[in-house]
Amino acid sequence: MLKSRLISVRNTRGFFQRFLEAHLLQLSIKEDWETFIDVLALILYGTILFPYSNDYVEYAAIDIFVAVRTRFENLVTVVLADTYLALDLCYERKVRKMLCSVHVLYVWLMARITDNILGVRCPIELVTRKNLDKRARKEWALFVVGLNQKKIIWQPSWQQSSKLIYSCEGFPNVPLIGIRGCISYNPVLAQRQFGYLIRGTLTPAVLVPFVCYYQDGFVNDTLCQIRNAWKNILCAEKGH
Amino acid sequence: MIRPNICYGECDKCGNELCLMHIIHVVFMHHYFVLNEILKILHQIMEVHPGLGVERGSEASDLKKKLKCEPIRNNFSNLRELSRKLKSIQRAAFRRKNGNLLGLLKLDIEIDIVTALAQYYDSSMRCFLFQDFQLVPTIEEYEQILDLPLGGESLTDTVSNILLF
Repeated sequence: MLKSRLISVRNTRGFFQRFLEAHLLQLSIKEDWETFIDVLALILYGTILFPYSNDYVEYAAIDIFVAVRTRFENLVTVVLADTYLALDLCYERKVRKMLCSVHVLYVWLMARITDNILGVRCPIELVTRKNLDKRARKEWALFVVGLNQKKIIWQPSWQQSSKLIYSCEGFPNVPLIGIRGCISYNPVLAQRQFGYLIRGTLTPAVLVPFVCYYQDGFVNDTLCQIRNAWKNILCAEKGH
Repeated sequence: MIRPNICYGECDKCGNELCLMHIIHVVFMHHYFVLNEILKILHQIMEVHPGLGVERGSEASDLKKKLKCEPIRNNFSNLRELSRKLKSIQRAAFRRKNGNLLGLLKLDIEIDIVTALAQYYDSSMRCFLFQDFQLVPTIEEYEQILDLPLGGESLTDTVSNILLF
């Protein structure tokens, strides 16, 4: 029955968001809350974390959902990888659609530039409580254009950990596996965000870019290499 | 006339050999310095006169807008309505399994801010590069936003070495 509901958008398969929502409504009438929670989470995976098109939940998002549930794969690195890959696609391949979680990126930025509220430990809550009105938001977009280091909150009170994953074995930086490809990012550039003093100079070797897309062909070796690299990681931590 | 590789004596600023490369270097550094000073003054003006700042800002955004990117705009009103049916115990169960996804659903985001941010992405360094600093989205921050600590089975056989600062 479900198979007949599969639709296809730009070489991917998935479901209409409205179809899954209708299903959700039925579940709430039946008061089957356990299934309700899972279906709701699934839709949020497809629309907030891994959006692909309007009113559409891509099959790949469902795959991730299953992997997180059954194999305890980590969702965070996938969402982060997709953010970098989407930006890379926009810049390097001139793709116009930005296929990543805009929600998380928005919270990430806003939590760094809005003033702290005492006692708020959750970045989403902080941004929600600030509750910007429509006009103020337009000004925020302009504010981003004129950002300088004085306007950034370098040590926000919501930031709990001072530990930073620095690099993985065999890589000068941290490689991530996403839905559409793999990409590495450079935590060495984030030292200031974690309150470290910048040590040494940046060499090109540290910033060596690494990116591959599944659509370009055979990548199994790369995936294995990254999985192995994650078995031995180097963390940075503040000395006492 | 200035010819390359020929020494014109000593530089009065640093005492090095005064050759063409050195002259270029000094001139460039000097101009760079002057340019920086001008930028700083402009910034001060923008801060003192906020109205002027907005105007200049909008000009700047038009100039800077070279990257065309369109995030997906989904409609969340139905989902918000449906998620309100959950009672607080069920919300807690949801959060245990999926982190703070409901918080993200409730949040009204402004997409223009994200597209403005995307203009500053530097694809060779993988970070957002602003005039005097850079910002990098990291695993640790995303963990906190999603409220999903890294761990579980995927990291059980990981050896982590600590680098002290």
